[in-house]
Amino acid sequence: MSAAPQTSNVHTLVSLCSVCLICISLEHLTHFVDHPRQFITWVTLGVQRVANGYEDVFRFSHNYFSDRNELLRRIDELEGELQQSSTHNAQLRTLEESNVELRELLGIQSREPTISYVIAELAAPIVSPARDEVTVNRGLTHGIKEGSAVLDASGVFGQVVEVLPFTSRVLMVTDKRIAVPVRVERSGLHAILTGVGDSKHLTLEHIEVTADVTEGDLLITSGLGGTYPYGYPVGLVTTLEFDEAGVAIRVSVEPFAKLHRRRFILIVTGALYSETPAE
Amino acid sequence: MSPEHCILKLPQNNIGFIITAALSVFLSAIDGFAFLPEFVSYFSPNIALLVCFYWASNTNTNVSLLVPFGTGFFLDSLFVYPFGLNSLILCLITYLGMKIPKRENKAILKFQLAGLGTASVFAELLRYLSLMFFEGTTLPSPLSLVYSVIGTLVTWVLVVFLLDRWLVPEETEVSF
Repeated sequence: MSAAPQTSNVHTLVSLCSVCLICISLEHLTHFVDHPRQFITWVTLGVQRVANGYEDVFRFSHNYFSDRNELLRRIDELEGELQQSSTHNAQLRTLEESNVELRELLGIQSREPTISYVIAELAAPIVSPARDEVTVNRGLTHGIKEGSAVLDASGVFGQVVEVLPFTSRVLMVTDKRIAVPVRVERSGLHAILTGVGDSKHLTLEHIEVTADVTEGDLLITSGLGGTYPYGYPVGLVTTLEFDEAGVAIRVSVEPFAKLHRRRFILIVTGALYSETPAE
Repeated sequence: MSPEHCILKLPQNNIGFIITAALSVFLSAIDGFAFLPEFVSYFSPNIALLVCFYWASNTNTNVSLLVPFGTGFFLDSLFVYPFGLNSLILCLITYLGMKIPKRENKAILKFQLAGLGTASVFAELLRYLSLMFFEGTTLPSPLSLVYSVIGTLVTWVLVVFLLDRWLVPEETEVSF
């Protein structure tokens, strides 16, 4: 290779690297690159949809070729599940009514929230277990707001941290920047659950040695702070460890949400609290 | 059909580079891990890095740095990295690939593998450090880094195998 193309390559490399560094800095300091990023995200959303189309083809062909007996068996199964769900629902309704009556007797205001949510699909694959962040295909135009809680079928998934017109960035509960106000379901103890950057563990910090929490306790959202609606399961207490000074315990919690296995999640767009004063 | 006329082959020029780079973005977008055990995701190879390194180090093409530059922006958008980070990494690695001797014997192949391993470690470290700096994430376990580099090196063999057979010299007449 002659000297001229080499020099030209070095010049190009330096120029392009400078542009990259400027883009990284601009994104960190301003919102200047949001629009080009949004445009490219649009393109990559399409690419991702096509790339993962094999799942839809697989599902379609599986359904298409399933024989009649298999379908009838599946219908029976689903009918059974529906029956069970209806029974549970009926029980829940009875409990809810009793709860309202008891609250009225005690003179406590009812604060049962009506949750509205948007179903979102992951817009980008989770590339590494080291990342506690995903992009979803719902944004400002779908009513998503920054700070909205995100749930999945098993429990609390995370929180929306950035909203663009058609996509949003969601931090998972395992991220150390996320704090979820929780309540130990058995004892009613309130605490703050934080991530530690590990996809399998969360932690309750600064819990007193005398606090009523044991292994196997279920943690649910306490509803304090207003971000996460009350009563959603978050995780199970797995281990309790004394800190160095022996005055507090560190509680490890295994999250319920299937963080690296979900394709669809629910983004809470509003929690309407019906204030019904007791008689 | 004359021997000079090859169907479904890629020319060894920047058009071929753009096509394979676009294909690498497409393959990176496949979220195939949903069906596999979780540990498989630790071995996720950096396919775009491999493609850029292949073109720079294994072909006689005077590759354009604009291709890895553009590819990087798509990867940043796809994987939610700081905008420009993957472009920076791919440009540097393509340039490094240009400086490595072309593959002619086993000794150079080993040299290339060592170069690729170093480049892969550098790319992962740069990603983790930038995420730590810009987003305050914690540094993952060193095992994640090792798995990712192993995944990239193993996939390198496959990329070389496929591209060696897919590409033809620029002088050959190519048709689709």
